[in-house]
Order: sequence, then structure tokens, then C-alpha cells
Amino acid sequence: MTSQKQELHLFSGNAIIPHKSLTKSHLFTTISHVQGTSPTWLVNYLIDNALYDTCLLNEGQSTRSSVKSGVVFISLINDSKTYEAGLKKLGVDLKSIPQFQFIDLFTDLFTKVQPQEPQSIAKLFDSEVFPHISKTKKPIIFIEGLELLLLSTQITSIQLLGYLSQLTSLSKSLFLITPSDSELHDITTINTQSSRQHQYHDFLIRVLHRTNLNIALRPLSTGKAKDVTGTLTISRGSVPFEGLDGLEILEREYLYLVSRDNSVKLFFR
Amino acid sequence: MSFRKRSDIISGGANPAPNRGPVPSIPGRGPIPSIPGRTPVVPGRGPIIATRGPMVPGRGVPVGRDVTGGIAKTSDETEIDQEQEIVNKFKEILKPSSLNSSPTISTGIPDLDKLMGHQAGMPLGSSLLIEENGSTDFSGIILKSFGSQGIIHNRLDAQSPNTHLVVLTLNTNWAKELPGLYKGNSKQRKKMAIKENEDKLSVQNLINKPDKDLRIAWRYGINDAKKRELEKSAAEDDIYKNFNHQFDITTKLNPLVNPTEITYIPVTNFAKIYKQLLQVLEQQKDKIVRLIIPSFLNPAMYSPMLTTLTEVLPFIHKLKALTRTHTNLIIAATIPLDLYSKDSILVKTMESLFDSVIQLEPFKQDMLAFLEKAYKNEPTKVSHGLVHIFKLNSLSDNGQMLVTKNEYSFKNGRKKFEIEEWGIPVDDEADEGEKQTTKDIEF
Repeated sequence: MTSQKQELHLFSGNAIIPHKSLTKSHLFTTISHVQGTSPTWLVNYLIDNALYDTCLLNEGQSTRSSVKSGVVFISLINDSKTYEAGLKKLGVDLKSIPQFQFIDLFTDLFTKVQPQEPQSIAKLFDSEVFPHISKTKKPIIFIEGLELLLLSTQITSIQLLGYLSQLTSLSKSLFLITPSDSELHDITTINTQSSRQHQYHDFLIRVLHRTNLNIALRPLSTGKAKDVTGTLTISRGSVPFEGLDGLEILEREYLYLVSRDNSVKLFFR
Repeated sequence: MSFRKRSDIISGGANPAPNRGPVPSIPGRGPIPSIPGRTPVVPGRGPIIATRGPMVPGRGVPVGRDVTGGIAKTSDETEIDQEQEIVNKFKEILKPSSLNSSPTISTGIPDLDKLMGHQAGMPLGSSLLIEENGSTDFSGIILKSFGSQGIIHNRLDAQSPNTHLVVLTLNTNWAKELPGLYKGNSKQRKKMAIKENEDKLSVQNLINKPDKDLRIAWRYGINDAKKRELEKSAAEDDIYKNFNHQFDITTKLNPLVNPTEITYIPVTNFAKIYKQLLQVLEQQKDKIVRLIIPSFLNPAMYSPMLTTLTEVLPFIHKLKALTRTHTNLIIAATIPLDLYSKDSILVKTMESLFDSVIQLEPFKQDMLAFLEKAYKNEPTKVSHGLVHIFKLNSLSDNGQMLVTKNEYSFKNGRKKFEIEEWGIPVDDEADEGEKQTTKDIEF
């Protein structure tokens, strides 16, 4: 009797990012997390998969050949070193891959953006983001830290969704990495707290109505454990994904463990 | 233990290791441990690379300080070199992280250093947020120790000051309250005074000096192996002897902090504060800069306009960016949770921007009374509150689940601020009841 291998698959046919299907359809994914379940490890594996269609978590998917797709990573809360170091441990040297581009909006974000002037954000996207994304060969885009703009400037959720839509049209797949702590969008406190919280809540709800796939990283509801870091839940979004050859999203829940040496193990739940 | 990162490629034999400098060129000097019996027997020889440089007068380049001589560099190597330069420069006060060998520095509280998850201290280029419930100011004591530690580091070598404090406060007397070094209990102080007296060069001392080399023949060598082991571990400790110190909160730092060691940035508006901070960083680029933010957003210092999300978050984001671009910067801030609830969007987002976050939750009166009763014979065991961990530098960002509540407690004593594992003491009231019953039966 053979046991089922406990590997990371987001789609049927053992696929994580379905490169072939992305020529036909667009994939919009959210990766939500809370305090204590940082998604950096998962993002590292997804970048590797986006570039080479490999995943060191899975057996037989560790041989890297040519780059399958360009990747653009836009971050408002981390610098490039965070991911370069993580990917280096997986054997990927991001600096030597011309198809990988890191758009650093972190280092001097608030010297370019004035919190009271939403137009400065438009300028930022027009000058720092959109011109750097190839229109001919659509890349896979990762973006993290967008919530910071909503919380710390006067931008509205609708305006931010507008930028997100533009990014969607420029990419073949978009991954939005966002925190989902209850304090950030607790509907019961919205009236008593600042309107910024309302904008963030509104943004999250609207985004969830546009996604094909939702990945959630949460801690164990039973409390902290030494052998489990948290749960990884894969669920369909509101918009169905139409892949080639009947490719469909595998709705699953994993337990995962990130060890002190940063190695990761997945277990079916 | 080495500061070299695990991912770094060790260059071949042709190139010298970057931090060795001229050591290999002096025959017999570098590989001191290879001379059998040498290191343990002669005390103080172990950490020769760390301490010898500044101590030997007339040497152009101190041993272990020449970092980059003649090696062709790639951009990757340049980054590593920058880190190595800092490591070599501040070698005496740094300790490598056991996780990734990145340089760490002490917070001034040895137990807090251990809690930071690196088996050393707080990584350079990182930030720590201490939240506190209630009207107590235990977090203030941590900040003061953090400041004192910086000043003590700065005064290690009068010729080359290595640390600068920056305090964001309206209280320009803040540094006057910094605790002084703990000099031991009264017995230890007396012993120290006697020893100091004995060490003085005087005729009386020379006459009374006992002959330490005199040994009884049959005991010769019995304890040598044990002694050697002890000396070896002491030598290892000796390498990091200046990493952290113990402070006595009942004393004051002596001599007082002078204006060249500290910069006060008054709380005006965040744009001005940031500008001033940049200036200080530029002026003090050759030193480690400890930015201290006591009671952040306290209405006594910060106007209501400054406490809005649109003001606070950009400032904290800028500070985070500064820690990434200035490896010589470390930040410690405290925030009162009674004024800004932990469930608020402001505190939650601030937490996401700090590298490490801990919370101090002092015990309420009834709990303290219970502890005092339970430890009535051992009052030093009474803890003062709980320590919750929410984030730890680099570990949390890598995805490890480190949110730990109610597992540690803190205790503020005269000689140190202790953090230990928390356990509820056994209430022996029930036992006393049983004893009473037994007595009754006997009657």
C-alpha cells in the first residue's frame, strides 16, 4: 500500500502555479496571514515555482531548467534582501536572473508619498511601478504591503483597487500578500475607530470578490504547538478559474511546520 | 563562534579570510591555540584577536582590524564586507547570532538578550517595541538599561568611542536617571576593596604577598585537568566579557552622560524628528546609534495631531527603512497599552513594522498578594508580571510561530531585571489545613 505524498499542490495535476493555463486565463490569488504566521517561506517557494516551475517541497520537482516566466515582486514593507536571502537558501540566486525584478517601494516610500495627498500615490505607481512591467511578456506579479497605503494615507479603497486592476491587466497572474488580523478589519469596532479601518475592511471585501484562489495562513486554533506552526488553507475565490484540460483548484487544508533552520514540512489535515 | 554567515562562500587558500588581516603574516601569532597548553595556562591570551589591537601601542593597523585589503569584490561581497567592517570595528561589544551569525548587541538586560532568540542579543539594524499595561514603568527600566549599556560600551576605550545614544523625548534629564554598574553585594564590595588595596604597589604589600607558586609535592597536578577546563570556558567567556553588563537601578551612572555621548531630539513633529535623526546618523556613522523612544505617543509629549494613523505609521515605516539602510542603528521603543489598546489598528500595524515585539503585563494587586504569601520565606522569588512575546527578529519574519503568552515572567530587582519561565506557585494553605486536622485527631 502506498501512502499519498504530502506535497504542496494548488491545482489538480500536481500543479502549483499552472503555467500552461495562464496563457489562456488570468489567476488572481490572495495570500492572507496573521501575526505569527508570516508567509515569507510560502512566497519564497511560490517565486521559485513561478520562475522555474519547481518546488523543493515536492518530490521530483527540484530540477531547474529554463525560466518559465518573468516575475515582478513589488514590496512596500520589505527590501529585496529579505527574499534574496530566502531564495538563496532554496538554491535560487535572484540577482543573477534577469527575468526577476524587485520593485522596492519600501526604502523611501514616505519620501515619495505624502499621506495627505492621494495624487502622490498615483505618481508613485505611474513612475515606479507600471513603466517597469513588460507589456509584451506578461509576468507573474507579487505585491505585498498595500494595506499600509490604505492605513496611513488618505487613499480610498476604490482608488487602490484601481491600481490593483491595472496590475492585474499587466500580469498573467497576481498574488496579493495581505495581513488579515481581526483587529485590522473588525466590523464591530469600525464605527468607533478611524475611517481608515473602514477603508481597509472595504478593500478586503472587494478584493475577495475578485479572486480566483485564496491561500490563508493561520495559527492553530488550539494554541501554540511545538510540532505545528499553523494551518495552510487553500480555497476557491469568488471568480471561477478556467484552466486548460479541466484544471481545477484543489481545496485543501494542510498543517505546516517551519523549523528553526527554516525547513518546511507539510501535513494533510 | 564565527560571524561568518552560513551562506557565505569561504574563499580558497590563496585569499586570506577577510577579518584576519595581518595575523597570518606574523608567524606563531595567529594560531595561538595550536601551541599546546598555551591558551588556557596564560590567562587573557585567548581573546587575543579581539583585545590585542587597541592595546599594543605604535601599531599602525591593530590586529584583526584590517578587513578588505586587496581582495577583488563582487556586489554581494561588498555587502558582506560592510557587515564585516562593522563586526571588526565593534568586535568587543558584539556577539554572533547562533542562528545566522549576524552581529548582535546587548539590550542591557541579559535575560532579555536571551529571549530575543539568537542566543546572543538584539541584531544590529533592528527594532524592538516594548508594550506595557497599567501605570507602572517597568519598560522604562529596560530602556534605561538599554541606554546605560550603550554608554558603558562607549567608555570601554576612551580613545575610540563606539556608541551614541539618541533619545526622542522632552525630558532632557533622561540620561541622569541611567543606572550605574552593579558592583556586587556588600561582601563582594568589601572583597573587591581589599583586593584593590592588595594590588597596590607598596612595601607592606610586597612583604605580605604569599608565594603562589609554592605547592605540596603529592598534590602536584591532581587538579590540573579540571583547572584547565575551567580556564578554557572562562577564556571563552572572556571573548564576550564586554558584550553585556549588570546594572544596579539604585545607583546612577558615574560619571554622568556627557553631551557628546547623547543627542536629545525633542518631540515636535515627525518630519522634523526624522530630519534630525538623519543628521545624527550622518554625524555618528562610525558609531553604533541606539535610538531610544520612551513612552511613544504618550499625550504628555505627543499632541493629538501626532497620534493619528496618517502621522504615526509613515514615521514608523521610515524608521524601519532606516534600520535596513543603516546597519549601525538599533531602536528600542515603549508604548503604554492603557492609552493605546492592543486591539487597535494603530498598535497592530505598528507591531507589524517593528522587528521584535514584547509585552509586559504587571500583576494586579491580588495576584501580587498571593505570590507574596506563597513565597513568604523567599521574597526574592516574587515575580512582578508576565512577559508575552509577539514577534522576534528574523525568526517571525521567516514564518515561525513565536506568539507566546503567559510563559515568561519578569522580576525587577535592585541588581537586575530578570525574565524567567513562569510557573504558578503552589498554595500550601490546603496542606496547613491537613496538618491541623492531624493534630486534632491526636488530641
